Amino acid sequence: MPAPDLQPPFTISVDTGGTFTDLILADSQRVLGLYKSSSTPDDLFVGISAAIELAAGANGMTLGELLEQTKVFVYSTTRSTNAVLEGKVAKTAFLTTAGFRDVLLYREGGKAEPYNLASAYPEPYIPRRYTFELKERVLSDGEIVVPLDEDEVRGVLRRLRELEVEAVAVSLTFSIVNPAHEKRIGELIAEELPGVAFSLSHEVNGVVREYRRASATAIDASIKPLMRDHLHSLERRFRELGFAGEPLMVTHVSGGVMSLEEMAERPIQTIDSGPALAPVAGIAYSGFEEAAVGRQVIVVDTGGTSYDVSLVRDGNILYTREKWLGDEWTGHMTGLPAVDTRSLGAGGGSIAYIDEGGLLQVGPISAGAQPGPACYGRGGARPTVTDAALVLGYLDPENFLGGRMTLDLPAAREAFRSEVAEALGMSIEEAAEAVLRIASESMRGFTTDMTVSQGIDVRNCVIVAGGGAAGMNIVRIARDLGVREILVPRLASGLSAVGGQCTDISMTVSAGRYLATKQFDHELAASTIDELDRELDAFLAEVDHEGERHKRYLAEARYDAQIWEIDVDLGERPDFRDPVALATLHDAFDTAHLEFFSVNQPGAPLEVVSWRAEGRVVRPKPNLAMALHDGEPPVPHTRPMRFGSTTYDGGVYRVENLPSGTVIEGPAVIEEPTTTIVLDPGATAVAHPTHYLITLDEA
Amino acid sequence: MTTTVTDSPVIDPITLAIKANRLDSITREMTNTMIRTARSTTMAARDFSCSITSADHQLLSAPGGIPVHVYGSSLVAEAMVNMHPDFTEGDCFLHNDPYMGNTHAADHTFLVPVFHRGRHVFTAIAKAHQVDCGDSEPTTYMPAARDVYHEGALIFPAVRIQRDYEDVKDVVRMCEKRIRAFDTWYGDYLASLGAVRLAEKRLHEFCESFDNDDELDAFVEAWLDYGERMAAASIAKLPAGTHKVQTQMDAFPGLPDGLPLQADIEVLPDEGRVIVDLRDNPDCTPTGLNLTEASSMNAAVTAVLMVLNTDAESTTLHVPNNSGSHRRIEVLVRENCVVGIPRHPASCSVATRTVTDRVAGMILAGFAEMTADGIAAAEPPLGCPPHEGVIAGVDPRRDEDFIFQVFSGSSGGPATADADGWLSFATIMGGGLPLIDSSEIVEQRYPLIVWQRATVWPDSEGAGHNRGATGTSSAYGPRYAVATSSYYMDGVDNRPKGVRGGQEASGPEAWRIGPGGRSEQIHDNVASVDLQRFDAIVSHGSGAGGYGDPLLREPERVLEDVIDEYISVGRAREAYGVVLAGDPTRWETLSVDIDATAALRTSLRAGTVSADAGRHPEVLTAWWPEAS
Repeated sequence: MPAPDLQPPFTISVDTGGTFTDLILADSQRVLGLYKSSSTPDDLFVGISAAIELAAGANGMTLGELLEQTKVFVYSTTRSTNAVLEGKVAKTAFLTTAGFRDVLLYREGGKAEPYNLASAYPEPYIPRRYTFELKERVLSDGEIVVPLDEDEVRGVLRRLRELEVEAVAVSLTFSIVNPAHEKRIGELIAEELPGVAFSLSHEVNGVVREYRRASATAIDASIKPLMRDHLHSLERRFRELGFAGEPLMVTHVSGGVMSLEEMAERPIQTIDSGPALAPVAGIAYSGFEEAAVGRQVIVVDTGGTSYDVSLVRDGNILYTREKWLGDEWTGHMTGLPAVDTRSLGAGGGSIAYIDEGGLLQVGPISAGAQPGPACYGRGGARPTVTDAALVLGYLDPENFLGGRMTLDLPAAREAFRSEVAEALGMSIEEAAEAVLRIASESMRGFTTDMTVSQGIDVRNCVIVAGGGAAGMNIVRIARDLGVREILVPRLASGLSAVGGQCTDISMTVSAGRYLATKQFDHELAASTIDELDRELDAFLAEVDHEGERHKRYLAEARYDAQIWEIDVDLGERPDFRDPVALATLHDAFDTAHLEFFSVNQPGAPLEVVSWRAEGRVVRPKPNLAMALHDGEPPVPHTRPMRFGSTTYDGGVYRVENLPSGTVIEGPAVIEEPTTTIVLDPGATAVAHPTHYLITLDEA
Repeated sequence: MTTTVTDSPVIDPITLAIKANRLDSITREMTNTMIRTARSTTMAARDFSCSITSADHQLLSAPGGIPVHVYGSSLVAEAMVNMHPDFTEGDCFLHNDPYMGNTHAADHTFLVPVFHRGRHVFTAIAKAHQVDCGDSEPTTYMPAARDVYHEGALIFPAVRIQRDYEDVKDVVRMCEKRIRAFDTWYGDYLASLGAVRLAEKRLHEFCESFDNDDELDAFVEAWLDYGERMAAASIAKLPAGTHKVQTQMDAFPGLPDGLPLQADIEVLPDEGRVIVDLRDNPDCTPTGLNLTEASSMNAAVTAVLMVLNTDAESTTLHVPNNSGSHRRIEVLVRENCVVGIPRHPASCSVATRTVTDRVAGMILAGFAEMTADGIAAAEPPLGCPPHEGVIAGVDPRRDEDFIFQVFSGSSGGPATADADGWLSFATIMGGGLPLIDSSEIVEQRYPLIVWQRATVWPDSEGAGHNRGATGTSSAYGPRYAVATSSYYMDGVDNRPKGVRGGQEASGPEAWRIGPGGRSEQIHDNVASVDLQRFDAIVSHGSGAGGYGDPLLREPERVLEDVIDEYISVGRAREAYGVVLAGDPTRWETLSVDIDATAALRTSLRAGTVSADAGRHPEVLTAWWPEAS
């Protein structure tokens, strides 16, 4: 029987990460808790159902009872991302315009490091042997200068049958302007290769820049068969266990959700969708905090191996078209408008060492989960960031992760002594302090690179810090950035799953239609907006939800001949048949340019490269408050903790003893079941049911 | 974390690491500003760099910089101070003088001296290749220029372009009269200015983060010393000895016999030093090929830094590119030398390419030949064929002239002991950093059609145990009216060589597809080619040399290359001695004939295999209709 104060129906949101599957359970009013299980990459269902079972048990229900009373199931998957990164995708062929065979091989050129000539050149997403050129050509205004040769297409398709191809990606030049050839090839594939999945570039990603569109299409086609299977089978298995709610909601890279049916046809949208939910949670939490009103938000999510950052400006999550799967230059780009989440390979597991020039380096090598930091006692002998936190007294060896694990302090100290302290002629504690400083500095630099490229002034920011390892050094990072307020959510270690609870049903559509304001074609602009509007209406009509509906239009524009575009908000429904709309576009662009780059050229001619529209159906949001202790503020016990060159008797607080409104002054630590929050001297935390607000003094 | 020992502060290694990271962060911020706000295709292709130098003009930070651009930061900063003893806060200088430390006239360098408490502490530098610099012909590369007058570029010997943070309008107006596509130039000027002014602001904050001036100075010294230690430690692992390297440039307008080039390399591992002597080279030539002091020195320094940093296991730069590491690389040059210090009025129009590719390439390959330890690389690609050409014409859609540099293709990178060459390498002076155009963006913006985007040029690789990357083919032409493509080539006769038994690669080629869809090869190394509507110019970017004996390349890797059509079946057999069985038109049927391969390799070993063995050059013909 469910506990008496529960108010079904329930909403389950699940985020399957590389190591853990996070689940947040909410009833019709509020979140009930975060439940973690180990991810099971071979069959994600196993890990997810283990998490559901935990959530059910914690609330006095069986798995079946919980599922029967669950109405909404939000699923954020790593299935597609893992498949792409491991290359375990369908055998896919790539069809393209003659002359463009190697668009996936060359990408857009570029290389990370000019002085190292031994880097192996990255493979294309689809090998050359599965790539076929078709003699056809559409020009930039849609004129067909070489018509499609259908016999040639059929010949290629027969060859694909011989090669037993499982999926086909079609990306032709300027199909976004005139899709006739792509559409015809789609029909021919359906005839010649019935049952074989295919993706047409103008449907997958309406972006100009042939590489990005081709890459998106190739990835989409290659995961279509497996994602169809995965999503349908997952839903079927939950239904078999008693789930009777609405169709599964699946999260996408724009930070929203779509129904399973929609997503199975656009599987590329699921790639990297988990991190895209972190800023959704960031917005939700900043809504609970007075200090965050009118501020820009930096959302960080730190785990054992990665430090992820995303940004919110004026309540809007910032997007990018330049998302790489894998490393920049050597990975694959999707070119989709996606939440801009960037990941630094640094975290609790980053290893410290001294290089040949005597400089202390932290990372990029990581101890990972195996052997893990030296203090895990699994054979790791090299000092890591987590070891540093232990040596400095921030972590309790007996109460790590709520007591689920015991840490080996002598092993951590020995690693620091032998690998760092002796060589630099410093004490073990000094070495640990140095490692934490350097790790924090690289995170600071990474955050700055990102805020700079998105035109965000960090001095007007608050940080929302999530992830199991964030609490360790977020105060240091904030201080280095010049940020004074940090929100650490009570559900910090399940940030993306919280985002799944708070997100809306949405779809982003785009049209890569080039228009220069010098010779502005008002009718073409207007009909482009009409076209996007029809797509949104069709989507919204399908959504079976009573929530409020919103539309938003954007232009991706630049000054004449500038290299990169920026997003310009066009509001609810611009009407380009009215000449005022062009003036509004100019003004909005000039303003945005000024905000991004501190300079602009008011009235200078513009080029719009792409048009975008987002349709959204608002879902109800649960209250994110978690119960706190109902009594007197605790008298903490103390532990020696070192900050800088001073050792303090720092307070140690446990969340289960904290009443709401408790003020905790650093030096201190707050121990949560899945994370530890370190308060340096000069940092003050206030405990709220939803989050801790940490404020830094001027120093 | 500073301890005071007598008077001079000592920077501990932790503070050093953190401050150095801050400085790199500022340089990256400059780079980002340039990318986001620049206007030209050259900037889009990443042909620009940012750097920071110290008060005494030592290069401190240049992450992500193009190698040939950033080495000379010290020289340009010094020129600024020498020309303007009264330089002060609020100044910005435009410098492109090839006789005073700049790379070549087309690279406009903007310098802002940064002051802290009234003292010059840093110089922020942004350098970008312009779409036009006022040359006598509509191109920024004038290899056939007899001298600087014929070249025609506007020369700015560290000219003050801002005073008190305001433009000196005279200078801007001069540019307006003499630079084609002035609006683009001005846009790029604003982008560069934005970058250096932002750096100025950030460097002020950086200075404030030190307790006092002495600590700041101590940091600068410690950071350079660190670079020096890293370089010395890496050089200590090289083999001791001297080595003479040579190369021969192709014949060129004004140089009927081409140009012999050489260098003497001396490696002193015990001292942690390398000496490269470039003095025994010809005097300045009556062409635009002469190197500048910056590009001469850089050719040697970059080659050595590549030797020290080439490591398959490494994900980060091992030896930093700062003046500290440069201290361990002694480069000897002389005045009035084609590889040295140019004497006015010798033209240095193309000083960042061609001769510099040759010099860096022969040094790099020379190191590879010094030891069997698997260091360095084969010779890099050569020439700037039409895929990097400057295109000029009229755009009837916009009713305006246009000029821009295209980047439709690439050239292949050299093989190393660890890997095949990097396919989109472009040039050793860019180290693979340059980007390739989006054809769709080019066609929207300019009246061109890119008929072929960067595509593998099969059989053009330098064969080897590790092979050089193949060259890259591409083709473009005008959509409406006549347009002119200007470009130049080297490496056609004297091609990129392999090392340690590796073979030489194909050099660059240019072809024109004209009326009737017929192709004809263009043999001039320096050319301006008029193209009519629906004509196309085909660019074959050079491949690069192989590393090690191709007869030792694993047959399975050769098979993979055939299946993916990097090389033909004939090439596999004749250059690599690998015999394949099966139907070449159906790759899934192909397999290695092990016995036949063993036999063939034995017989090939007995003779000499030509670099061109088995090459089957394909000729692109038009598959599109003729203009009507």
